[in-house]
Amino acid sequence: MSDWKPQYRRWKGQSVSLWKRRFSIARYGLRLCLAGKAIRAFLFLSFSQLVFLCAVFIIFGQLVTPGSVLVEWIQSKSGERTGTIINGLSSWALLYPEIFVDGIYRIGFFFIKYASMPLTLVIVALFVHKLIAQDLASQAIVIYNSKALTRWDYLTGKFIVVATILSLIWILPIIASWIIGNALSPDWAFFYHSLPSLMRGLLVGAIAVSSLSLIALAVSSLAQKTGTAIAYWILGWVILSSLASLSQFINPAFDYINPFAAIDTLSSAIFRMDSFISEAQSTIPFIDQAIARISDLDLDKIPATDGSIIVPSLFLATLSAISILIINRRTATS
Amino acid sequence: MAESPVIETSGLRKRFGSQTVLDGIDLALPRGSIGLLGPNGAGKSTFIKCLLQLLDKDEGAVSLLGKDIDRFGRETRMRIGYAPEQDCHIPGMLGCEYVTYCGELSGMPFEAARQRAHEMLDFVGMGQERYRKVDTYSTGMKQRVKIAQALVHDPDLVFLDEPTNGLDPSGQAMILELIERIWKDSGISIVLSSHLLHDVDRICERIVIIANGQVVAHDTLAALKQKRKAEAEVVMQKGRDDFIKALGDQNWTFRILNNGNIKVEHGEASLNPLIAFMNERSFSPLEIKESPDALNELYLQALKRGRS
Repeated sequence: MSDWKPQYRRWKGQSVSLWKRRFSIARYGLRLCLAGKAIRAFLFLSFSQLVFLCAVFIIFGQLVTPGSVLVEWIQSKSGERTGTIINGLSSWALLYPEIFVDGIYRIGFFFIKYASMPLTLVIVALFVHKLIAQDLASQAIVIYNSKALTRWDYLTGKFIVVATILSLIWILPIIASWIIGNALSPDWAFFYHSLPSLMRGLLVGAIAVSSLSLIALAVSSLAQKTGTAIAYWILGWVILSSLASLSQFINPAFDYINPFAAIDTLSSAIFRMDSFISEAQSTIPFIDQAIARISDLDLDKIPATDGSIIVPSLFLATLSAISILIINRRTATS
Repeated sequence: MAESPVIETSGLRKRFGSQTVLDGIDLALPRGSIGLLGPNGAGKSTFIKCLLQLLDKDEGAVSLLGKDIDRFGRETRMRIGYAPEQDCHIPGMLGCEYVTYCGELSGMPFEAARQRAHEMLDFVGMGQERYRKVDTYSTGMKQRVKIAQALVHDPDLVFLDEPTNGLDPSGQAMILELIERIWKDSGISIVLSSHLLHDVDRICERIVIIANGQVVAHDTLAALKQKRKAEAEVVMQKGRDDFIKALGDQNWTFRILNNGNIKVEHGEASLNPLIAFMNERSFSPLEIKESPDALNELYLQALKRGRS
């Protein structure tokens, strides 16, 4: 101890903004949450959605481009006649870009939720304990609260962590595939024609990411030990799904107690596949009969048209509000 | 012009259910090294947590560094450091990462926080251990890293809650030396909360004694040490009866203790008049025990109140 001569020097630097402090929490949280191999593997799996969508959009773009690499390859393999048929079909499709271009993107973005939902369940289970549960268990929450931050700054940082990871599943594939697909399309007007689908996809993604992030934070804040947070997350979904299944005996609206059911219905309402089909039926010759043969769709039963969009929205808003109350209560005392 | 207090509380009250943990605390503490002394459960940690808004107070007003915490809580905490009593590290972080991160949370840019973290780890005497995970640290290292994180952003006021808990005597001495230097070298005001009189006595200039959620005493260490009851305990082997008679003649009140010693209320600031009196009459005591100073006495009272 005799050799030890502590020297203290004052610091005269400029402090950073509040948002930078919140992003410091988010940056560290992301590093911690993405540290495991399992989560990286599942995120890689979620990128397969992106690859699949890109492939569909690129192939579509190639097929509607006369003389494209793909069309020439098909011609070389199947003969001149097939090439002529493809060229005819693509010319016909390009007469209705608002239907065909928007349609292919709308269908692609609509169905992405069926992969995103199970991926969300698994991926959040892999990191939910590292959000708030770990800080409560180790009492690190005291350190956060004693710094130049409020509880809401801390929670904002944590929300950014979950929202960023969930955006990789729900939003990144939509934005990236839209950019790549359109950039490689024959006509840059495709950007314009597919923009409504992008907006619909982003809206569904934003709703899913924000509500699921709040639920994940609430589950994490409920656990006193890190292990129990994972158990709560899995058990929570099992219980909510079981309760939702009772809807057939109680009230159909009770199905929305399962957030995925609410998101599913909202997605159907936002993408308005009904109006898309109606428009296609009324605009494009032959489509009407073709759809009538393959689908028994009853337009009146689609949520957006009968006003029942309010019920899933209310359920999702209520679940989010309950989550905020839980998080607030659990992180209030140090 | 008088310097504004670094801590000012008025009617600070905190209850947990039916139990009142802080019972209307009024304090105005100037800059310096302040000792918050009291038995376990006296309300010291709760007091600090209320000041830092880690707990919501029920009543009262609090100003830190001249600013009302209800209005400027976040801005005020930017200038305050806190080393809590319990372990509160972030699992999986290296020591230097942890201190850097705490600097960033306090508003420092990353590069500055990293550089400053290493300076503070040097300051608290951490060597290569800084590259180990905090989870693996010994109690002494954890205490030091807690102090480093409290100082990393160069605060004007630091709260240290029981910083010598769980340390061996050499570890305690080192931590106390470190804390002493924080105030003496840098002028950063410190509030050292402890249930150990020795810790506070050694490094603090001002003492606040808390018991049962109330301030029992608040003064400078020097003043508390000067304050003594004007009495002494005299141990006599020979001439005890003559001494008692002489005390009666002098009109000094006295009483005979159970151990046979004589407690004399001499009414003077020092023992000199009593010694002179005994010299004049050739009394040869075995020992003259001065009454304990106010610090000791008040602390003992606080301990008793805490137990009751």
